Amino acid sequence: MHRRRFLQTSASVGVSAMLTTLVARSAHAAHAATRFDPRHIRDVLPHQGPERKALLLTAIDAARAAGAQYCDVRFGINHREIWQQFEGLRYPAPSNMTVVAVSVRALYDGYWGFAAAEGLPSIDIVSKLGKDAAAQAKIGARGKPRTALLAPTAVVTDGVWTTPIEIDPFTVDPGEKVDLMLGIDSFIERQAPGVGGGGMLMFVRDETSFASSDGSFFTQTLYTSEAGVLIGAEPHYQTKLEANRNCSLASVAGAGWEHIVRAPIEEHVPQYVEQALAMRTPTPVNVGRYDIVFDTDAMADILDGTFGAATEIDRAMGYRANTVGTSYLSDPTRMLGSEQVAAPIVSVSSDRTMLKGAATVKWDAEGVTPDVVPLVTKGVLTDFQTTRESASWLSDAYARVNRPVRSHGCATSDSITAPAQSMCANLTLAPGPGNDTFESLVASTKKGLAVLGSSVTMDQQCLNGACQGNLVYEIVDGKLGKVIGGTTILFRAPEFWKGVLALGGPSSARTTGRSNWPLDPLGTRTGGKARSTSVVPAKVKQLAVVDTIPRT
Amino acid sequence: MTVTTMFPSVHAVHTCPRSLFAPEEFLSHEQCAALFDRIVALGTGGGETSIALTSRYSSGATWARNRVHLSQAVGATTIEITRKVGGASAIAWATRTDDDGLREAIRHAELSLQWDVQNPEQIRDEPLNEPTLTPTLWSEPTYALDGAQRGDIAQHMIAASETAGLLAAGELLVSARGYATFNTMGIARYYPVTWVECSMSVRDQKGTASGWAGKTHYDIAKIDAQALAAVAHDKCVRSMNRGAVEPGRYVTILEPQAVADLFAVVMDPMGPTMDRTGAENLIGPFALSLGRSKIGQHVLDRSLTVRSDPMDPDAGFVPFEKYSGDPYQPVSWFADGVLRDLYYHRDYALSRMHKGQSLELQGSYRLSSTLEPVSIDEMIRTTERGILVTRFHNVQMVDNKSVLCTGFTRDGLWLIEHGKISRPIKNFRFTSSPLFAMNALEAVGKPVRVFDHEFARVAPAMKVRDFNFTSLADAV
Repeated sequence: MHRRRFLQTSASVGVSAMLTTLVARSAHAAHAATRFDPRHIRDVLPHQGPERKALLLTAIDAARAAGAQYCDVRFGINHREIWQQFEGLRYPAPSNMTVVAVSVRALYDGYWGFAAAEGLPSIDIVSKLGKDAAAQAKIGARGKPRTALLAPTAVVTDGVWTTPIEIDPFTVDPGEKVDLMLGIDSFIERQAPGVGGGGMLMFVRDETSFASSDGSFFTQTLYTSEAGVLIGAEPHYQTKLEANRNCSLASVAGAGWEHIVRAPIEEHVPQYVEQALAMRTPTPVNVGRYDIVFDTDAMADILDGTFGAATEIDRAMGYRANTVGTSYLSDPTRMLGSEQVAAPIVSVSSDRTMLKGAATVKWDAEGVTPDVVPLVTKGVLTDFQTTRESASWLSDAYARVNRPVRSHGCATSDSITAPAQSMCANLTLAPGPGNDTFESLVASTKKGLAVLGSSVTMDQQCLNGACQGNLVYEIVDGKLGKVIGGTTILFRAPEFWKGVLALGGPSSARTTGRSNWPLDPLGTRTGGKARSTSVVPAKVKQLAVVDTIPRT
Repeated sequence: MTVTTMFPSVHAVHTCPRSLFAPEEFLSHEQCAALFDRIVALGTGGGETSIALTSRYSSGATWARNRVHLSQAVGATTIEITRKVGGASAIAWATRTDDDGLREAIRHAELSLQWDVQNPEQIRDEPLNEPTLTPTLWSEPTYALDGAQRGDIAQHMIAASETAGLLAAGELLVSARGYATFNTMGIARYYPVTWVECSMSVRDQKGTASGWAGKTHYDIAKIDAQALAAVAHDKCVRSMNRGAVEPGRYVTILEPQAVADLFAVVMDPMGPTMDRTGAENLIGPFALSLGRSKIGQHVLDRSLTVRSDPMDPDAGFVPFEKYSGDPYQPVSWFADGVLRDLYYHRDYALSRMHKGQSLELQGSYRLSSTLEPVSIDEMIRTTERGILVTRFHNVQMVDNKSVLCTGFTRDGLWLIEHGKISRPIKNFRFTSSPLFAMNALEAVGKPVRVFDHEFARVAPAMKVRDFNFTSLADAV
C-alpha cells in the first residue's frame, strides 16, 4: 500500500494543504542542506581509510606498552533519529542524536581496566585511553589473585560488514516519513468515531570499528528501524473507561526503511482499533487458575524475561548481583546439560545470526563471530549466553558434555562508553511439532483465557513473574468470549515452562523486536540492547490469575 | 562581544576547582561559555540558541565474587542544542566539541525546524535571569579520590565477607560533573557537582541468603563504606535459613531505602502522578474534577512533609532547570499531609497562571515527619507481629488513579513477633500504593540519605499498617 494513499483517501482539506506545505519544506531542506556541509566524522575518519585503523592501533600499542596482556579498542559513531507523538496535523521536529566515542579495555593479571571518552578522538586521546585502561586494570590487580581465561577466537583481518538493508532510513526525505505517519493517523481516525493515534518512528545507525591485541580489525555498521503507534479510544459512554493500546506497526528489526513501508499496517490497524474499543468494556476477572493461550507478542515478552535474562552467564554467576540481580539458573556448571527447565516440547536458542534480527551482528563486541546457541533443548538446559571470559567459567560443564570452550558471541554493551558484558541476544522459541495456530489453540481450550500482548515484570532472579495482558479474552468452549479487565497472571518460570501444553506450528511463528527505547536521549539509561524474538503462540496449563484493579 | 560578556554570569561564585592531583577531566565554566559562543557563531537563520550541557568524568570500581574485576574511567560531554526560529524549535544532541561536530548537530536542528509549526505570534519565552541559590554540591576530597584509594576502599569492603566464606558484589563510582545552561537571551548558568555511589550485596555460596546496603551523596566523607559493607554482610548472615510465611496484610516496617523505592513512582519527574495538567484532566490520583486538582486537600498522613530544596544539605541539587535555566526555588509538594503543589511547564504557567515561570519536579526531595523520630529497633519492639523490609525491586505502577504498585522485596526480609525479629522469611510480591502506606502510618524514623542513581533523596523508616504482600516470591 503506497503511503500516499493514506492521504489521498482522506477527506481532510487540511491534510492536503499540509502535503503541499511538506513538499515546500522538503525543497527548503534541500536548499538548506547545500548552504553548509560540515565534515562528517565518517569523512574525517573513513572506515576503510588508514587513519581510523592507525588510531585504534595506537590505543592498542599504548595499552600494551603500559603492561596490558590483552586489550581491545572500539570506536563508535551512533546516530539516532526519533520522531514521536504526531498530534493530528501538528508534529514536533525529530530528535537527532549523534554520539562519537572511543573506549579501550585492558586485561592485566586477570583484572579488567576500561577507559573511554566521548568526542572526536585524536592520537593523543587514544594513547591516553590505552594507558589509562592498563592503569585501571593494575589498580584491580593490587587485590588478591584472579584468573581470566579468554576463549580463543579467530582473528578478523580488515573485516567490513553492514546490516543488509534495502533503503537507508537516514537518506529518506523527512517529508516522506511525515507523510506516512500522518497517513496512518488519518487511517486510524477513520476506523471508528472517538479513536485517534499518535505515532513514533526510530532509526539507529551504529558504526563501530574494533581492533584487538590479537590482531583483529573490522568495521561493522548496524541498522535498526521501528514504528509504533498509541491508539486511544475516548471514554465509553457507559463504563466511562478510555483505552490506550500501544501497538507495534513495525517492531524493531535489523532493517531499513523498507521494514516500515512494507509492514502490514492496513491489516493490523483495524484489529488494534477494535481491540482498543473492546478494552473499554471489560468484565472483571474471576481469580483462579486457568489454562491460558498466549499470542506471539505475549510469548516474546515472557521468553525474554525468563530464559532470555536467566541465561546471561554474567548474571547467573553473580556478576550483576548488586544491580539487576542474579538468575534462578544459579549453578550453571551443574545444571548445564542435565537440568529439566521446561516441558520436552520446548526448545529455545539464542541467535545473533538471525535475518533482520535487531541484535544480529557479524562480530560481537569482542570480535567473536556468533553462533546459534541452543539454550534449552527439549526442555533441558543446554547452554548459556557467553563471552570470551565467561565461556571459560563453564569449562568443566563443556568437558562433561564434550563440547569445546568457545564464546557464543554474546558480548554487547549499551554504548561504546560502557564495558561489554553478556547480554540477551535474539531468541527463538522453536515451533511445536504440529500445525497449531493461536486460533486452533483457542479452539482446543474448553475454558481458559487468551492473552494478546503483555507487559511482563520479573523478580531479581528472573524466577517469579507477573504478566499483565494488553487484551485478555475469556475462552468458553473453544471460542473467544468477553474481554476481561484487570488481569494479571502470576507465574514461576520453571512451572510456566514445564506447564507448556502446546505450541504453535511453523506457520504461526512471528518475529517481534524488543526495543532499546532510550530513557534519556543519549541512551545512557536504556532497556537493554534491541533484540528480536521469534516465537509461536503457546497454551500453558493452570496459571494463577489475579485481579489488580482497585474496585470502588 | 560575546554573549557571555553582554550578560555576565550571575554564577561566578562557583567555578570548577581543580585538584592538584587529578587532570582536568571535564569542562569548566569558562570552557562551557566558550563552547556556547562557538555554537552561536555556527548557527544560521537567526532566532535563539540555547544549550544544556553536561560534562562528566566518572571512575569506578566494580566487584563480584570478592574480586574488583573491573576498574574504569569514562569522560563524556553531552550537548543538547536547541534552535528556535519564529516559534518553531528543534533539538539535536552531540558529543563532539570540535567545529565540524557542532556544526553537524546545529545543521540537524536547523533542518528539523521546518517540521515544527512556526508561529510568529507565540509568546517568546522570557528567561528568568535572576540569581540562583548556591548549594554546596562539590567536594574536593571526592574529586581528588584516585583510583588506588578507590580500589583500597573496595578491597576493605570485601574483606570481611570473603573471610566469612560469603560472596560480595558491589560498586564504588565517583564522578565529577559540570552542568551548564546558556542561551542567547542572557542565561549563563554553570554548576559543578561531585557524586558518589557506594553499594554492596553479600550472598552466601549456595545462593540462599542475601543482604544489601547502599548510599549516594556528593561528599564521600558522608558515606561510611565500611559501615555499608558491614550492614550488607550482617543482613546476609541474618537471612540464612529463610522460612515461608503466608502472604497477607501485615504491620510492616519499611527501612528508608524501601520507603524511597516505594515513593519513587510519586516523585518521578517523568511520571504522571505529580503533573498538574494531568490532574486537571482527570489523570492520576490528585485529580478532583475536570479542571481542578486536589491541591489543598489532605492526601497523606498529617505529619508528613515532602520538600524539594536545592539548599538541603543532604538532598540538595543543581539550582536551575536544565533547559530554561530558571532558578529552582524550594517547594513543599506535601506539607503536613496536605498536597500543596503539582508541577507544571511554562506553557501552562503562561496560559493558566499568567506568569512566566514553570514549576518543575526535579526528583530530589526530603520526606520528613513532625512525629518524634523512632529508631527501627524501637519500631520492632512495639510490633506484636509484622515484617521488616530492606528494600524493593522492580516497583511498577499498575493503576495511576490510586498509584497502586506491585514489586518484590529483596535483600533482607524478616518476621517480627512479640517485639523481636523471630526469623528471616522468603521474599514477597507486594501490591500496595505509597499513598495507602503513607495514610496508615504508625511510626516514623529519622530521615536519612538513601541510594539513588540520579537524585538526592532523604527518607525515614516508616512503620505502616496493612501493607499488602500478595504472594510469595521465593527469589533470593
